[in-house]
Amino acid sequence: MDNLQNLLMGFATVFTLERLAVCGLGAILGLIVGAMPGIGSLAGCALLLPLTYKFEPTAAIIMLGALYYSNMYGGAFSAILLNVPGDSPAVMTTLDGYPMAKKGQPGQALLTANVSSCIGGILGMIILTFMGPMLANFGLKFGPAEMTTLMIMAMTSIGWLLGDDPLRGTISTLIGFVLASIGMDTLTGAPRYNFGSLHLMGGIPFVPFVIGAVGFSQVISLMMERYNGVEMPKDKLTIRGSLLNRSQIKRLLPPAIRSGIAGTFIGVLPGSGATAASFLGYAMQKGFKNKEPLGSGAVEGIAACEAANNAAAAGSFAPLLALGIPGSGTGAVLLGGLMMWGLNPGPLLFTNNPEFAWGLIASLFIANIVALLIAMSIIPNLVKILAVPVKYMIPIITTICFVGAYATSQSMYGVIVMVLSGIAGFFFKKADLPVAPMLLTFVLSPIFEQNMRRAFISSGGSLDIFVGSPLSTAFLVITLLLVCSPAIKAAVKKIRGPKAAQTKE
Amino acid sequence: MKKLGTRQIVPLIIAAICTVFLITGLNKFGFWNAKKLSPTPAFVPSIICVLLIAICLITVITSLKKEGKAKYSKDEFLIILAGAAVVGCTYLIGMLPALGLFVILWLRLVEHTPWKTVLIIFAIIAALVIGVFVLWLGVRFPTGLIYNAIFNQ
Repeated sequence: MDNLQNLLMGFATVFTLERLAVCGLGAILGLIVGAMPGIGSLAGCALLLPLTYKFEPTAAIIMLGALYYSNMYGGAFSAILLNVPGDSPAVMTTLDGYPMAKKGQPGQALLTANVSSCIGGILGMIILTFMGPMLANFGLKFGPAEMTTLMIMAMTSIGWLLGDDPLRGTISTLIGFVLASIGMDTLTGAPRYNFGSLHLMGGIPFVPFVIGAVGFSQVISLMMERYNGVEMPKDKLTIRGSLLNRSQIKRLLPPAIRSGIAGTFIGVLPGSGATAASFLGYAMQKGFKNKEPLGSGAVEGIAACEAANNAAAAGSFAPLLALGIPGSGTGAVLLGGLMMWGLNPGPLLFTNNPEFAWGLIASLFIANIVALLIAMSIIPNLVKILAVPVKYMIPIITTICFVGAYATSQSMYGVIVMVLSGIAGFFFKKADLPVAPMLLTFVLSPIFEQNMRRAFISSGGSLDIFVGSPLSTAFLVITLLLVCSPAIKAAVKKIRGPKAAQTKE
Repeated sequence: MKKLGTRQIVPLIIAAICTVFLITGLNKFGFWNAKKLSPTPAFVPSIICVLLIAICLITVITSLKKEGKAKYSKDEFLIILAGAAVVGCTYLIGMLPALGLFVILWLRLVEHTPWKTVLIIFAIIAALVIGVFVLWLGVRFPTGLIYNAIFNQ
């Protein structure tokens, strides 16, 4: 009950005209920057951080919270409309968002993403409000062995679940590992697989790599269909016209709630962040019944990953506020912003600065709603992008890919990585290799490798450490079940097959 | 014997790259540090490479029995060529002029778009790139050899 009272106090802090206006401004700017491919929430927050200097401390922190949340919303826009993810958590949104937009339902696709983001975010905030300190302690129980087995589970599930051909899915998953191993070794700092190149010593930059593998490869594929128009609604699209019908809402709610809860817990784990949550949310949804197959423009697919990534954004506040440990890169920027205003996140934050701490949490609730309302109001204008013929979109998207790749890496190396990964992504598509698992492992494998090697070092090279705790054993069992699930499913089908036939007769 | 297509060539290329990674990693770092009882920097990549080589070879063998070939169009390679040309031109005339030139030439020569539409699209892209990236975010795009030779002597 204390937490609820504190939250109400936080709302009282936020509810002044100036602070609400600042919250709205943060939400609008965050949406715009988040929607720009190649900028994303991390760079977006960093770029907009100086804007908060102009306000008094509480208003500044409220603006920071609003920027952070609306950045998460913005990432889905270009993913759905252009098939170019605004940032890494939006990679999964492209899988169903873009096909749904192409089916003539761009407004519904955007609204599904926004409503799910709001549900995920609110769920995450509720969990954070009542279980913040407890969640932070739970996250701390994850040692190197637990993190390693969790990562194995995450990567196994995505490789087997994406694509019709498990072998090709596994190839794609493993390539992510190989590419991520280029650059500095995370533990020793020694350069590896750079083949003498100074650029490769810094590794492959993620954002240009994603822009190329997803965005530029899509431009190449668009060349074949540039004279086929996208099916657009015949009437002028309005906010009402893009509203979801009852059946779509029914399909959206269960995955959004499930992924929202799961995403919050993933967000709590240091280093996992919104990207891992969105990948896992999508993978989890594969195990449930979907009205349309995932990947073909299913509401469930968009809802699962968008709810998970926004919930993880909320979850990452638990270790950030309670322990001062940022759960992601964006969390680190926020931490810097908070410290700039004299706040020192940690166990004493809630006692020493309750107005700031609860004001920030309350502003996240408000930012979530404000971002949803603003996003909804601009949907009809955004959807007009799809009415532009594909042949005109090709130079526009190509330019955005180049500019986005350069802006994030600040070097031509990033642009070259973007072009090369675009070409590779194009040949992957031709060879029926799914790109998404590769992106997942590219993000997760450094966390996996670092933790696995730490686990080995702490156990003196013994494998026992991975089955030493109940958590890591549970993750390994789930991994095993995931690997065996196709065989189990086939066996069940074989056993049920003759029985079903007999019943029919 | 069935002719190799993209579905077989891509896994074979991946297997070849993995072989290079495997040999390079093991030669430079080894697999296991027996003194410290810990994995070397090549530990995980080597395991992954061995797995990848094996799976790629299995995929090539199994896909040989399956029907279906990837189809290519001349236009797909045109945009790849255009991308490479933009990279090349960036070193010469700078990124923004190279992209501007690409947009105009692409719309006029490949898509045969009327000048009015070309100028509208050009203006939209210029407003987006200059307004957001250059003026607001302060990104300094590469200016190229020619600009540097004239203005930064």
